[in-house]
Amino acid sequence: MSHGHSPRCSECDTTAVFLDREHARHLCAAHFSEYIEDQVLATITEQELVPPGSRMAVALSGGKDSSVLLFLLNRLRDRLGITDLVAVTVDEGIAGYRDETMEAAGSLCQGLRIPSICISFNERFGETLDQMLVGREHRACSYCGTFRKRLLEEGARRAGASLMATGHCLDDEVQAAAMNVLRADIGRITRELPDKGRGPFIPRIKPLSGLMGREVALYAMLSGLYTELPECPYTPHALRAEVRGILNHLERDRPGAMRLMMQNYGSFRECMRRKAPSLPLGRCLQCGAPASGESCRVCTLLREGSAGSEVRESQPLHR
Amino acid sequence: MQVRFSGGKTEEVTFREGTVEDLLNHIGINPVEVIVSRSGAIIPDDTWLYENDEVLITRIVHGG
Ligand SMILES: [Zn+2]
Ligand SMILES: [Zn+2]
Repeated sequence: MSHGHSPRCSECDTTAVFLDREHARHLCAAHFSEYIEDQVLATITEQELVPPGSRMAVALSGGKDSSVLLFLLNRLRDRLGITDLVAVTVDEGIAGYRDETMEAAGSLCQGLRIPSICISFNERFGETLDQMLVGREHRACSYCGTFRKRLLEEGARRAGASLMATGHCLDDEVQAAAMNVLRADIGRITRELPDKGRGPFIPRIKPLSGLMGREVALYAMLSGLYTELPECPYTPHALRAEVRGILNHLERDRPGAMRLMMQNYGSFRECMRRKAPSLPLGRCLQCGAPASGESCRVCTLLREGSAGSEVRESQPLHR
Repeated sequence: MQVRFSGGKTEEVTFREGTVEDLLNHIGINPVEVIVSRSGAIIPDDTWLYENDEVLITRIVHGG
């Protein structure tokens, strides 16, 4: 029988569930949830991300991050002046993985009484992700990401949304930033973010981008949104998995490291934008979507796919 | 100490007493990547653990 040392909440002295290393304090379940909701509200209001009266599409995969996102936006909708929420779910077609998460997405929408739109790679591109990737599994994330983004945009348009929220957390943002730098991907580094309706895309916002993945997971558990789901089978192929491990080590040894890196990346981007302004967007000659050259990423990848596997890998950092 | 992992695996770990963080370091897990509970209750990383505690380590699944 051993409950010798149980840390107490710094706010109310009940049993704590979380040690907040960055602010050197403990939080109980209630105060932790309040802190998460305040963080999300602050991210949205400080950056003026949601104009009152918004009809908002929420990219919902059914995993923990996007489930927390939908749950929180629903909870905060009156305070944010959101008129309507619509979930948009993309079925990439990944055997042994996507079925369970699709189910989780569906039942969350039902429970919250939020309408949803589902689009699949198969119905839209004639192939599942699994089929597209035969022989090029190491490029899973660039195929999946490019096509998913397009379908989310289409879903949001179908929903008549003025805004789209995605579930990216701080960890995702730092990983993407680190990979952009490692690859010297100047185009991505200098690209204007579509968060204020500049450019041809539906403005996209990331309300969870101030939260650590671990905080989102804990909030999911405390809110009954966390289910033990399988991991994407393509994860081990991704450079991102290694970058994630390195960044997690830094965060362990220096609490707050990810937040600081993201701030620094912001200054770096500003500086890079002045040196290398991004090209104005034109239209893709095949599909008419916004594109920086003659062909958008989606059409380029679809062409590579039909050309067979002789197309060579161009990114230098893959194994 | 008997340690359970999400997914169902159980491991016997040599650990007399110490904090959650000590335990995780001992078995080579980064605290940033897991959430730990004892007897069904989620606990902070500086909670003191004893050999007979029932500990569950939930690995945070990425994505989504
Ligand atoms: Zn409290
Ligand atoms: Zn195109």
